[in-house]
Amino acid sequence: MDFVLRAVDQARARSVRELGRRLSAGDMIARDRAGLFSHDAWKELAAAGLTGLPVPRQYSGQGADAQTIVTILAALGETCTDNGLMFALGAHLWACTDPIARFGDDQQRQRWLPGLCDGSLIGAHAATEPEAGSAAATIRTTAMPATDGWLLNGEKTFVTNASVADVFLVTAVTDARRGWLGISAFLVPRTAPGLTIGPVIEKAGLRTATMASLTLRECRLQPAALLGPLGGGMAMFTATMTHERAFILAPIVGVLRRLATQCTAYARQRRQDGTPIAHFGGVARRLAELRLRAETAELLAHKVAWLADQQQLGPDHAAMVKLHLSEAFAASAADAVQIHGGYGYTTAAELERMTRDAMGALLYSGTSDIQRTVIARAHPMNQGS
Amino acid sequence: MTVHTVQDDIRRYLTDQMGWSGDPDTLTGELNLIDHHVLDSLAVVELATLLEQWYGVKVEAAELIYDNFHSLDAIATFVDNKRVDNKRVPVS
Repeated sequence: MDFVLRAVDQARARSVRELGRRLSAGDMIARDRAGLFSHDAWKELAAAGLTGLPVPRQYSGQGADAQTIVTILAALGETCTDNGLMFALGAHLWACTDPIARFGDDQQRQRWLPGLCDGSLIGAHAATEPEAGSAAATIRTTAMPATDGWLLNGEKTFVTNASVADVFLVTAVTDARRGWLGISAFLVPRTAPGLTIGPVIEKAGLRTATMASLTLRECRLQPAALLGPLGGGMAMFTATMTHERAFILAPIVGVLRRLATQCTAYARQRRQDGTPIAHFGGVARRLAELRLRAETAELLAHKVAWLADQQQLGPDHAAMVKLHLSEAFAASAADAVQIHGGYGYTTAAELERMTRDAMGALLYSGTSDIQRTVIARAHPMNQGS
Repeated sequence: MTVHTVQDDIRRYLTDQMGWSGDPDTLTGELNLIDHHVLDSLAVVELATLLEQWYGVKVEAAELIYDNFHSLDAIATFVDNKRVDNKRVPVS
């Protein structure tokens, strides 16, 4: 086991850290307040190859392995303060682009992946419905065969990137008699007749990533819109969620590192009665926890990436890394505010935004309670030893 | 008899690991595992991983469909076909 990055990864990480600094420049506070997605920032992510990280090179992606992906995304999180942008990138990569690369036929890959990789297209995943959240098998959206393809009807909500996305991965019931094995997946272009995208849904954090609902009314799709086999929707959804949970918080590995460094530096220079506050027991304990969370997050993220590279990644390991990183993020953001005191509560310190962003991480891709359920019910297989 | 062995392994997994609490005698080869809520999507993914470990076959996510996983008989046939495929020597 080697904990030192390869020279090529060190160089890429340096370059991505520089990109993260550029993306954080300007008035981040105003963009958060306005809830604005930055197309310019997206183009910069694409120019650096980040919008196509896991996609094979033959489809204009980077063909990066999981370990490299975690290294690069963690480097981005180390310097990028736009958590919403990194969340939008995660949704694009893991909930739409990666499933097309894994389950699409060659025609679908040729049609969508080059644009999704080069930044000219943005992807989104529409699974959640008003009455079906984590119980994704209970969806009501239907897809009926039509003479020239499919007709979709239903409502989807909490669709990250919906306002800016060009293609949606949509799950719908194709055979109600077969239960969850009667659900299929479809690639729905933004221009599909019958598709309406609702207004942006306001939320507490991650405000630079937009979220909206979709309405499908007699939404007409070509036969080639079916992704994977008929009835394979839930199995692909589970496989998609496994990758999403494994990697969507990889940037937070870097964020945790940055928070630990920033808080330690502040606590060492900030004095009360002539003593650096880092010397006070309460603050020292928080600094230790910040460091510990950063270290354990990095180790678990890379262990799970290693499992993915060995084709041994299970839903339970993905749930573990999602749970640990999101809870570490929320705890470290709260500790950062405490260490900075009243200043930490001000908008200018950019830490209150961090706590709002971290709250979202506890919910998306399944709440912490859902992750614990997935972990607890899994068969403890002998993976990775 | 391969089919029976596969069925027995899965039956044991469902009762011992998945906590299926029904009467084992009702867990027949023809019982519809989807209609009777014996298998959900997460359990099928886990079962697919176990099938790979037990029998050395490769199960793609796109193969986790009704025809292959709706009953013990269907799963056993699926695994059997996979093992036959594995033994085929490609013609170059």
